[in-house]
Amino acid sequence: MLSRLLPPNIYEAVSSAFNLQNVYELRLRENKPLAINFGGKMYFVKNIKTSQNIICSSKDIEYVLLSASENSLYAVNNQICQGFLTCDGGIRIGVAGEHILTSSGETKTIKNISSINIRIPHEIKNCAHTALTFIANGGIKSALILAPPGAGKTTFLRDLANSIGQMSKVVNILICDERYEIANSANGKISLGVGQTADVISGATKKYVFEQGIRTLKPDLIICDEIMNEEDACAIIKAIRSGVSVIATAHSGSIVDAKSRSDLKMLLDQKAFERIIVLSSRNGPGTYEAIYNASLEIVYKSGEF
Amino acid sequence: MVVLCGAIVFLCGYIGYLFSSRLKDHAEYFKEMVNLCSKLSLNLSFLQNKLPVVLETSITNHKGDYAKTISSFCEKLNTGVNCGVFLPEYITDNERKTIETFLHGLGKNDAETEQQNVCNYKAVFQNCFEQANTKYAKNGRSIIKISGCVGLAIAILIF
Repeated sequence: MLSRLLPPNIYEAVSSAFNLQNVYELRLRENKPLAINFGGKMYFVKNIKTSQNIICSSKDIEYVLLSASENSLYAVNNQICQGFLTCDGGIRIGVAGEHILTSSGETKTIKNISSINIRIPHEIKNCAHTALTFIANGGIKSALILAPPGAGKTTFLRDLANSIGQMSKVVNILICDERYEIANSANGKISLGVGQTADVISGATKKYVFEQGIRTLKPDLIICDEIMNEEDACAIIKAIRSGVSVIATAHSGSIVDAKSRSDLKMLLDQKAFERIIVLSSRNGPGTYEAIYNASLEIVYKSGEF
Repeated sequence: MVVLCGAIVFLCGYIGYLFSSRLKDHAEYFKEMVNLCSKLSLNLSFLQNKLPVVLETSITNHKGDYAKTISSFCEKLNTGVNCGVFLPEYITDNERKTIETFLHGLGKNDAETEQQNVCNYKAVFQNCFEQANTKYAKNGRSIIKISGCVGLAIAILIF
């Protein structure tokens, strides 16, 4: 996929100097050196002939955006307005540029995109195995996964959906894939493994999925990424109180950090989740720090998947 | 001698038919471009499918020059290779520039701006179609008749 996404000169330099299997992200900034996250560490990518750092141009950025959108920016403008773009293979592209606002203050589009961050997902089979024993023991428990950016939350969530889908007791899962990151639905096809029993709603808000999805699809479990605000938290509480289990993620490094956020504090105080799993990238993405119960007592500490 | 004269009349008539066909193809080419704009516009206002999907769908069951143009443009999009887009010989320089600008501008804007662009180009292509169609209606049959008459005249002279 990267071969199609990147300009030929950049792809050549990256693929000849780095093993693509361990590339986590690529950062292209206009008139700045191309940076790569390889195995968790950042490097500048050098030109193989001149040994100079590769300097990215606006044309390189435009090339990536057009390739990622299959020359159809109109079809992804809603995503771009939210600051990201997803493409085949679950690759996520974060964008930074000048926002054009409507009269009501909403972003109409982003022009002059000057930076992009290409994040490449890595499917890790059974990475959620340890957590699964705490979540799926005696029925599916609601769980909150806390981790800082880049600690493997989405990978973990995807594997969890896949593992639950393979359980002997059929669990109807509804995946709320607001940012197309979990299942990576593209052109109507799901490109990443999310199990046999998952229904995927892509691009819709959590509010929609938690209200209409429950009514129409009657799930046993809803999986969603990144709780962002109190509206999300309220929708989750409502779903849990109506008997549907929820597994969600949030950006936070620890329980203490989570309690400093009003939305997460509301969820923790109301004991909405029976399990809280804290991940980090201390020993690589997906390092288990601890698993807590609803009363925030540790039930599992440390280890890796 | 009779066979030779018959062959000359047929040949001249056929040459006339070819010229006439070029005029007809010219008009039909722009008719297809107008149809493409309608399809793009419809796609933008509802499904918002990706551009290659819309373009490839638009040439299903088409074999003419229009299909060759779109097919070559799709290939360019898919491979990323900066090769030229096929344009038939009867397209004038101005029309060539218009078509190339239209195709290369596709997919580079948000839906609203894209819709406006497509509508503008639809009007341009409609105008090109009307001009080409008028030319065909005016000259198409005359060319065949004249060439047939020329063939007949040559045959009479030889005979």
